[in-house]
Amino acid sequence: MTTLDLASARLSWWRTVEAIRHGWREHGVTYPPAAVVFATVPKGVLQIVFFTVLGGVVAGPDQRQYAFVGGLALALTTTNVVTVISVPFADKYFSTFWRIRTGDVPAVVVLYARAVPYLLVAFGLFIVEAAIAAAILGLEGLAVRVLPWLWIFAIMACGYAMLGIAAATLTIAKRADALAPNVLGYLTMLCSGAFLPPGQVRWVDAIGSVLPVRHGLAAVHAAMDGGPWARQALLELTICLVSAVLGLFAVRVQARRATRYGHDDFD
Amino acid sequence: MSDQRIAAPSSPDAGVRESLTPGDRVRSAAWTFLTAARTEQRAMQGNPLVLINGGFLPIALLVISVETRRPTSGRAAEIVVSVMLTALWACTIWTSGGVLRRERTYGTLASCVCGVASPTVILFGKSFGATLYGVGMTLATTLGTVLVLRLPVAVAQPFWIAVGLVIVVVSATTLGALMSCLFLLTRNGLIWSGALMYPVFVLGGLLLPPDVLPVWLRWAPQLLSLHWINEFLSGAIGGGLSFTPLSVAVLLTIVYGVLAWFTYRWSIDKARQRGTLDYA
Repeated sequence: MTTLDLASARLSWWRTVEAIRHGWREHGVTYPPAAVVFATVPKGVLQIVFFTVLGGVVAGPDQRQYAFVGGLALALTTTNVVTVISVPFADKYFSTFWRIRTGDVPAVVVLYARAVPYLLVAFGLFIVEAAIAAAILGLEGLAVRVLPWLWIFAIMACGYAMLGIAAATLTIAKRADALAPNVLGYLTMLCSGAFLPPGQVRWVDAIGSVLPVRHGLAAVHAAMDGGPWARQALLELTICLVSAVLGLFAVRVQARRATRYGHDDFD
Repeated sequence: MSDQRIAAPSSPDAGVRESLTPGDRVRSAAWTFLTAARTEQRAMQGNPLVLINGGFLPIALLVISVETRRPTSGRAAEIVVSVMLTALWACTIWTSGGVLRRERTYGTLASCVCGVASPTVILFGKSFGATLYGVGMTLATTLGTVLVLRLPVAVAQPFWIAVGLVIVVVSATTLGALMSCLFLLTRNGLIWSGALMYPVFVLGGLLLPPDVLPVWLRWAPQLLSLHWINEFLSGAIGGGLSFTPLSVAVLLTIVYGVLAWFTYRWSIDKARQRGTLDYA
C-alpha cells in the first residue's frame, strides 16, 4: 500500500467517523434526552409489559413467557431501532440530500454511518427497558436466560434498521414518514412470531419469513429450549444482509431520481 | 387611510356580535363546528396515521389475540370490542389528539385562536371530524377482520350497541381535544404521542382486564371513559346489559370536555402572553 493509498484510506475513515459523530449530534436534537428518558423508555417498558400480560390473558402462563421474549424483540425494534428512519427523513425535511449524493463519501455510507448512534442508543435503551420490564413482571430469571443470546437481538436490530432505512428511503416521496415505520412495526408485531407462535396462520408465517426478527426470535426460543438454533440465526443474518443491500438499492434509486429530475425534496 | 382600515374591523364586528340573538349565536357556533369538522375530515383523508392506527392496528391485535388460542363465542366478542377501542385510542392520539399540533406545524394556529369564531368550538369541531373518521375506519377494519377470521360473534342488543358507538364518538372527541391541548404545551408532541399509546394499552382496562393489574393500580382504568364503554358494549353484545358503565362514561366525557376547555384557554393565554403562539 502506497502512502497515497494510506492517506486516502485514513481520509475515508475520518469522514465516516465524522458522519457517525454528526449522527450522534443529530440524534440528540431529534430525540432530546428528556424525551428519550420520559417517553421512549417508558414506552418500551410498557410495550414489553403489555405483550407479556396479554399473552397470559389470552393463552395462559406459557404464552406469557413466550410473549415476554417476543415483547423484548418488539420493544427493541418497533420502539427503539425504528428511530433510524429519522436519518433519511432529516435529509428530506432540511433538503440536504443533494449535498450527500454529490459528496465524495457514498450516500449510503453517510446514511448508515449516521444511523450507527441511533442503533447504539436503541440497544442501550433496550437493555434498560428489558431490565425494568423483567423486574415489573417478576421474570428476572427468564431475562437472565436471554442474556447470552443478546447478540442475536443485535442482528435483529441491524436487520430492522437496514430495512427501515430502505423502506423509508424508497417511500420518502409518499408522505411515508409516518407510514413506513408504522407499517413495518405492525407487520413485525403480527408476523415476527413475537406474540403469535409460528405455525398458527399460514399467511402470517409467509410474510414473517422474509422480514427481520422472525428467524432471530425463533433462534432465541430454540436456544433457550436447548434446541438447534444456528440455522435460524444464519437466516436472520442473511435477512440483515439482504436488507443492507436493499438500503443501498433504495439510495441509488433516489439519487438517480434526484439527478434526473433535478430536485431532492421528493415531494 | 391605512389607520382607518386597521381600526375599522373591530368596532363593526363588536357591534354585530352584540346584536346577535342567542339563536344566532347557536347557529353560528353550529356552523363553525360543522365547518371545522368537515375541514378536518378532508385533512384526515390524506393522513396515513388514520390508515395505520385505524386500519393496520386492529388487524394485528385481533389476529394475534384470537389466533394464539381460539376464544369461545362470548370471549371473542369481548376481545373484538377491546381491540376496537384499543385501536381507537391509538387513532385518537394521532388524529384528534394532534389537531392543534398540526395547526402549529402548518402555521395556522394563530389564525385559529385569534379569529371571530370561538377557538374552542373550532377545536371540538376538528376533534369531532378526526374522531368520526377514525371511528369509521377502526370499525370497518375490525368488522372486516372478524368476518375474515370467522369469529363467532353474535350481537344481542344492536340498539344499545349503536348508542354505545355514539358515546364512543363523543367521548373520543373530548378526549382527543384534551390531549390536543396537552400536546400544545410541548415541542415534542410527536414523541409524546407515541409514548402515550402503551400506558393506556396496559392501564386502560381494555385488552388487559383490570384484575391482572397490581391492586394499587386498579383505580387507573376507572379514569378512562373507553374502559366503561368497553364494559357497556361487551354487555350489550353478550346480553348482560348494564347502564352504570354508560353513565360513568358520559360523566367522564363531560369531565374531559371541561378540562379540555380550561386547558385550551390556559395554554393559549400563556402562549399569547409569551408571544410564542406558534412556538409554544
